[in-house]
Amino acid sequence: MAVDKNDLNNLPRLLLPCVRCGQCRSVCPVFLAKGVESDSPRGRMTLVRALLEGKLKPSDLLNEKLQQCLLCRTCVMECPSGVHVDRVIIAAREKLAEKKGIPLKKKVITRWLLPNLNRLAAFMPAAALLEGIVAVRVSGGYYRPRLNLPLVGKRLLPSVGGKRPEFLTSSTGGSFSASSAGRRVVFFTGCMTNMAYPRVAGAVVEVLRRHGVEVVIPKELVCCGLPMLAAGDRESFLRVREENIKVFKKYPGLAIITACASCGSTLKEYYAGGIEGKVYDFTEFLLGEVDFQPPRGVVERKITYHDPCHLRKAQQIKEQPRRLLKSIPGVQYQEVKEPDRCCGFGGTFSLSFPDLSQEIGITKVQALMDTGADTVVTACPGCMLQLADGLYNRQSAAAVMHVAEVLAAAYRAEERQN
Amino acid sequence: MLAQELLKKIQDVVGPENCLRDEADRFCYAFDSSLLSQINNWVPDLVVRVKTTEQVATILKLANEYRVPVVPRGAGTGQCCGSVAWRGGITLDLSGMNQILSFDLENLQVVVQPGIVHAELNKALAPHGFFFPPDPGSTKMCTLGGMVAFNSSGQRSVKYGTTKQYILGLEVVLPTGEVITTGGAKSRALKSVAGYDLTGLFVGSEGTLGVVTRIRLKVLPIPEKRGLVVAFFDELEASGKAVVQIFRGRLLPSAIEIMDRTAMKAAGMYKPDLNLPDAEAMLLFEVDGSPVDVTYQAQKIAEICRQFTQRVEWTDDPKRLGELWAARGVVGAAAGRVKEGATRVYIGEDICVPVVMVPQALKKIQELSVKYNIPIVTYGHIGDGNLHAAPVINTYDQEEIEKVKKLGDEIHRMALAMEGTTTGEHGVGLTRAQYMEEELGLSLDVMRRIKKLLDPNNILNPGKMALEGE
Ligand SMILES: Cc1cc2nc3c(=O)[nH]c(=O)nc-3n(C[C@H](O)[C@H](O)[C@H](O)COP(=O)(O)OP(=O)(O)OC[C@H]3O[C@@H](n4cnc5c(N)ncnc54)[C@H](O)[C@@H]3O)c2cc1C
Ligand code: SF4
Ligand code: SF4
Repeated sequence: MAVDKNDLNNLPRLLLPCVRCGQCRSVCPVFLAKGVESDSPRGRMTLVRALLEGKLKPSDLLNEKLQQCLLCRTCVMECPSGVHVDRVIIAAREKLAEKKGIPLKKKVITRWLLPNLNRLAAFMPAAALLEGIVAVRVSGGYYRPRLNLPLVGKRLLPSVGGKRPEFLTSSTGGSFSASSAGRRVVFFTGCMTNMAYPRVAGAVVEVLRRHGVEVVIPKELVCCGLPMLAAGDRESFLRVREENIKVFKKYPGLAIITACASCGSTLKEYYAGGIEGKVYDFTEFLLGEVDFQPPRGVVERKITYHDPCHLRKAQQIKEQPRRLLKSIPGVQYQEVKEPDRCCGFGGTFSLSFPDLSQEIGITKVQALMDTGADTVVTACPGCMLQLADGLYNRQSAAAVMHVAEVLAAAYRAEERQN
Repeated sequence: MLAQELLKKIQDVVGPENCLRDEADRFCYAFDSSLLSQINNWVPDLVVRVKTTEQVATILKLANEYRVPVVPRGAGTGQCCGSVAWRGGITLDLSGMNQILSFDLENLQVVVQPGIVHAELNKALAPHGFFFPPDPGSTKMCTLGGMVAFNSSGQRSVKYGTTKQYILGLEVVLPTGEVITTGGAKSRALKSVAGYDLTGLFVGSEGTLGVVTRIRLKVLPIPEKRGLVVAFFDELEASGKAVVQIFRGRLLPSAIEIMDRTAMKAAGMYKPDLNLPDAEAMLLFEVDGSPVDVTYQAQKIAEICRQFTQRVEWTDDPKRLGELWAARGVVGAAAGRVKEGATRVYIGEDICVPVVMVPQALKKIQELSVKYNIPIVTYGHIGDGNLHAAPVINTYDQEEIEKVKKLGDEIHRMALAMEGTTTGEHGVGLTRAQYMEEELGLSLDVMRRIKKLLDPNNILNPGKMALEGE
């Protein structure tokens, strides 16, 4: 999708195929939680069209309805007419932002916090000190804030003070080369992984390394830009995109790997034309681009898997994570009911609408708990955070892991066995 | 605008959170799938989300007292403006009343609230080995209340009939607020001829006579097996003859679907791997029953089809079955894609003609497509003569909208001229009200008298179904 060809100008065309059949009502997590037509994708498409045709004026409620979309694309998969609901919503938010501006809280996140995350990382040790004061430690390396914190409220936060992999110590970036032989790739770690789950980045490098892949993590990479896009702040998005593209250009032709479903889908779709190297999800790369060696080490876990929306619905990656997990000796795999049901995270959605986000998450978390699994695995750090929060709130002891982490554990076990 | 006093009273009944007053919210209840609702701005003054029969009764009483229109709404998937509040007033959103109240499966019945979605009901019944047979294409989204109000049906109505065959009794709130139970106040009987068939009166009444708040439904055991025969014809007439011959051969498929050249082309454009051959028409026959029966029927049907064409295939392999049905499954979605910068619209989409007239009707529709220079994709349930024509236009273009209105009119008039009807399953609502005098004759007058009796102040879904007269 060409970013410069603004979807905003294209809105009438994007809206045209919606025949108002309502089939999207049957799947939209927000609609299923709220039950009001204006919370359904069909309702939102109608609102945008009415806005465009001047039948409705921008209002607080209209704005809220258009903000209350997870961009999960469940409706896009369901829609018989092929309406790109997510793109319409993004463009409509842009249109609203043109008129009303972007709310301060979002601006802080999209214009200041995310573009500067790598520079902020220097303050991580200081933040780590604060952790114990403002929050209560809970198992699995998470903290629960004692009171409503700015931006994040009371949701579970992963510790920023834990041990970070060697290549992420100095800052969130840090150049790192694994082996010298074999294929070289650029690893786009992304904000969530950098800040919340450095352990996932560690696992990705470890597994790639085992396959003779040399991993480069350029220090200068910044946020992929999805939060900016989602906020209707295209200007900021284009800025970070430009910044990232400049960095990618230093590694001409190298494949770009992500282990974050949202970064992956953004890079694949919104960076098209700007980058030379092909973008792969970690699981896709492992099974499609290298000679995958199934681990021989045993991991005794009963595992279930949650499909991140941005992996399954945006990138059509469904089988790879499952195949990887099933290749691990000792893993008992249990499919969950409706595995592709959205977890309700939605990035900044979970910050703007924490209660709704949790309510949507409950259905997912309950289904995951019903499998009896001791480990919930997924392939996106955003989902990980949401699921950890939901499981904790329901007093479940299940661990939450990334596919890469389970694989890394298996390879480590293999080494111990040898 | 609604009187403040009335609003206050309604808020007391359902809680302010269930009264949607904001314009953006109300705007989303201003349409169903019909073209007519898309090109108008019929926004209700208030949307009320109800949970109980008592709430519905109180609201109707109040509305009757204040003379405010009330329009019942399920999922808003109808195609004739049935659930659109074109005179403002209150839209009553019943989709929140979506519980199954009791399973009485030894007695082949369940009791449900009207807001339950069709697919959800069948999902709940399946583990028990039962199903509710009418199967609209909108199964994933439409509500049982909407199905009762429109007497909806679907592909399998050839064998299983329409919704009305399965409605044993209803709880209905009358426009004046009284609550009645049809089919026997306490009955769990599977049949009864005690009294007038009031159940039959309310089924298909399009929300003009009462609000359905509870439905006692008959359900059937799921057939053990299904099989499918697919045949491709070089001549439209031959396909019609094959269908007649199959009934003469004493066979009753559960569904007989037709896709003409336009529909096959659309499906092929959308999903090229369907690999549809070149033909004038494609028929799909579904048979169900015991394994022996399925094989027997399918082979017999294939044999009869071979009298008319050599391109016949039959299968009972679930995988192949899925592949073959897929062509029919995608056609509705595919229609809009036959023309760049245009979309499918619902107008003239539901005529039903005598089975033998289907090939002729298809031809005529193709001619109209040429006449108006509007692509039309046509498919339908040839087993009962019900055809769905899908014109494809640019809805931003006023000229195209005017053209397609005329086209729709010609399709409706053609159906009447063929001794058919303007609507086989989607209902009259507003879009087909203009044909009712001609189609119903004097019985429209009786309908008007019944309406007057039950709804003396004309508050429930007013102006629909030509009930007001000229
Ligand atoms: C893609 C698509 C495919 C379709 N396929 C079929 C098909 O194969 N067969 C078919 O028959 N129809 C079909 N339809 C039409 C439509 O889905 C059906 O008519 C359906 O039954 C309407 O249900 P609803 O809940 O959406 O009702 P709505 O559209 O909300 O309302 C329909 C009518 O029922 C009234 N009503 C709703 N609830 C109640 C109640 N509780 N009490 C009294 N009145 C009430 C409304 O006032 C209105 O007049 C299709 C529609 C679409 C969009
Ligand atoms: S977005 Fe798609 S599924 Fe939803 S109403 Fe429009 S056409 Fe139907
Ligand atoms: S993207 Fe997700 S949340 Fe947004 S309208 Fe579609 S299904 Fe609903």
